[in-house]
Amino acid sequence: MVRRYPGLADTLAHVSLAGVVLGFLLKIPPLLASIGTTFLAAIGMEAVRRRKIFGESVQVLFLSGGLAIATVLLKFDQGNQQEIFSFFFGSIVTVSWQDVWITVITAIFALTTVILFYRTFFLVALDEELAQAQGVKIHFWNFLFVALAALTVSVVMRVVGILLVGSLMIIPVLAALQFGYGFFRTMMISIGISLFSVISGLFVSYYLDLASGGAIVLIALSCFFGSFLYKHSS
Amino acid sequence: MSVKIPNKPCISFENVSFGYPDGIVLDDVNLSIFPGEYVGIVGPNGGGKTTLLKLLLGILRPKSGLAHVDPALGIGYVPQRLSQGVFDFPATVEEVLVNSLSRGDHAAAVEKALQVTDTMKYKKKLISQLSGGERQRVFIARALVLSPKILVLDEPATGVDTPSQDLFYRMIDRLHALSEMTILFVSHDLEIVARETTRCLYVNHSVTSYSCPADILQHHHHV
Repeated sequence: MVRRYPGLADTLAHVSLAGVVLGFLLKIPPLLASIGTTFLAAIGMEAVRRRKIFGESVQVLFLSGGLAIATVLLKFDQGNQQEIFSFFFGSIVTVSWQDVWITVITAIFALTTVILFYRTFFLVALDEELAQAQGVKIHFWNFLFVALAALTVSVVMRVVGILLVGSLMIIPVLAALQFGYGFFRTMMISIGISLFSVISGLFVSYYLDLASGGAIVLIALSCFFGSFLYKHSS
Repeated sequence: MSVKIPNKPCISFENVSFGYPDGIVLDDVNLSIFPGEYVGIVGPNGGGKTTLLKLLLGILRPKSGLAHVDPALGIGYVPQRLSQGVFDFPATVEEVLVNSLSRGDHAAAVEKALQVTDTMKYKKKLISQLSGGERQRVFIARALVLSPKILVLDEPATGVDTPSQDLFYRMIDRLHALSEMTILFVSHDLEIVARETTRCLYVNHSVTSYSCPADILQHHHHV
């Protein structure tokens, strides 16, 4: 969000759909195929962005590309369409133990990287030129940032769904920003809102038999409106 | 301003050229800047002032020639746009300073930089809540917290009201006199450069040095 890439998660989600379909076609775990595809897309996006095409339109290129590849590949798939469509809206019942382990390992990796390099990520997000003047190799850090986002999108989309994963990465941050705290507190509050939305969304979707992605994002949206009202009433 | 200038330059450019496919920005630039100098950089838009700064900061690399900065001297940099327009990055002043440093406890360095720039009262405030002039001082504090021996400011007073500008130049004078820091600043305002600095560089694809900055007013009054 603070890097001004609000469409990044959506772009990566659409790219990851191509990975999922490819996974089914090549008979490899779709989650791994999706991680691989989004990772490659992260490299590609940073490479194109460095060459300064118009604004952040690089995201549109990769979003449309990902979706186009997925729809073309779907034609060759036989018998898995039901399961592939479960990725669109998210479904907790399709999550396997293998998915759980991949998610746990990815979460540990992402969290450790952010904790270890918190100050460098902060500096690059604050101002790329300042970071460069301090000797920070910004292209590497930009790539790592997009790669971490790619990993996160891949593992979250199983539960939230491709169409809504971007919302889960943006809305909690928007909600946390309403409180007007500093960077660290805003980050902690947005993590809290994300966890609350996912856990309560899963409960609600299980007991009311709803799509988990929709329930999770609606709860996150309620948190945003709550914090928005708090800001404008105080 | 009676700062003693040593003989060995801390910044030297030897036959430095830089350009883009659509044209040359700097052509065969030779210059030496010595420790303790207070140098103003002026010139027309597109003449290569910011490029010159970026070459010495290592953000850009020369297409030919050698741009050398003594690696033992840290550089503090304040980019142009940070004090202008809307800046809604969600961080407190303290966070901006602390996260500019490597890991560890730097509370004393942060306090000192805030005191020198008279920004202690903003420590817990969000940078987005500060005015252009206040934000400008905070980003100078951010540069100072790195304990630099060279301070580089790109158009530091643009978009800042006149009282804040005066405060700003008094602060830079103080820093220069107390710390013997080398200061380089880009400005559009020839009168300020003539009044404040000890030397002036006129940059328009090449670089001309004026050891008496007041001369710049006679030679380039049109800038």
